[in-house]
Amino acid sequence: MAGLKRIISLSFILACGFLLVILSGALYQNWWPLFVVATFVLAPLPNAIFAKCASGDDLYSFHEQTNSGFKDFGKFLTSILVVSGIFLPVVLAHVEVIEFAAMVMSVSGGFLVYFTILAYSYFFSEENDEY
Amino acid sequence: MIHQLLLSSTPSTLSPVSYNEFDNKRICYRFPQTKVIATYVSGGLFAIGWWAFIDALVYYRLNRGFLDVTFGEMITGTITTLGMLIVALIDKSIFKDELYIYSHRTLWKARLFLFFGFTLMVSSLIGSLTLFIYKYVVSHNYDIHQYYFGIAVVVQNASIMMSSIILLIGQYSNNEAKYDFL
Repeated sequence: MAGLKRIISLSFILACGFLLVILSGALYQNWWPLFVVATFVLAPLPNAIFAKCASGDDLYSFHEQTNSGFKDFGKFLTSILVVSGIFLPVVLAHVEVIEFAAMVMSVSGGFLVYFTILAYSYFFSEENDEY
Repeated sequence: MIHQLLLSSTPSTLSPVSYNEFDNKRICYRFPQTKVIATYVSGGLFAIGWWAFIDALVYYRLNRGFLDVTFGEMITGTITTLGMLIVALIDKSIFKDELYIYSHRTLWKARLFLFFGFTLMVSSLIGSLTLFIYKYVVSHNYDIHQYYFGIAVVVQNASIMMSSIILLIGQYSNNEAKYDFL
């Protein structure tokens, strides 16, 4: 039953995030902040794609994964997407396309969505490893 | 990513580590998963650099139309990114010198390319500073909105270079090594 509580709370947080992002667009009749959701939803995707792309069969290390170039590139892309999700509303607010309050709401809403994805993969990815 | 950070951040790795088997005893606070953190910080700095440039472009196009963005503003960030690509594409295990499976010639070539990439980055940083001083500070009166684009270009080049340096340092440091390279 612990998983059920987690799922309910995570869906609550996800709904709060989407509420903040949609409010940031709807309060000012200006739908530019919706692009933030796209960057924050796409942010865990490179890590998920490159997760299995590291091999440990190098010449002088048998325990750690040394050939993790693709994995590191996935982390690099993830970080780029997260920072883009912060800086896209900042740029839009700087050129006064959107309001400052809309910027704050869209960034916090995008972070809530991203936190939900991270927490979901943290809580429920361990169960697959035991099989 | 948080998953891996949380698994390894036990308090034992944060305790001061002393190395008794070497002559120079070093006590350092080992941060867990240094390579992972360095990769994330490097990607973030790279994105901050390019977003500063995009911000300046959009700001000038929408608010002040008088500036003509020439070749000089564009080329420095491009050259910095090219140098970062060159530095990132070198196989870093050549420099570790643990096994002598690489010949002396390979090491020499890798060092040459590392030097070439860093020269590209530093020279384009100096070029952006020159552009900022020569084109924006000297010719205009002291108004912050006048030389906003120059500051953005300098910030872009500096943060991309810092990103590449952090990525390079993070490649060298792994958790099982007896010593770090810094």
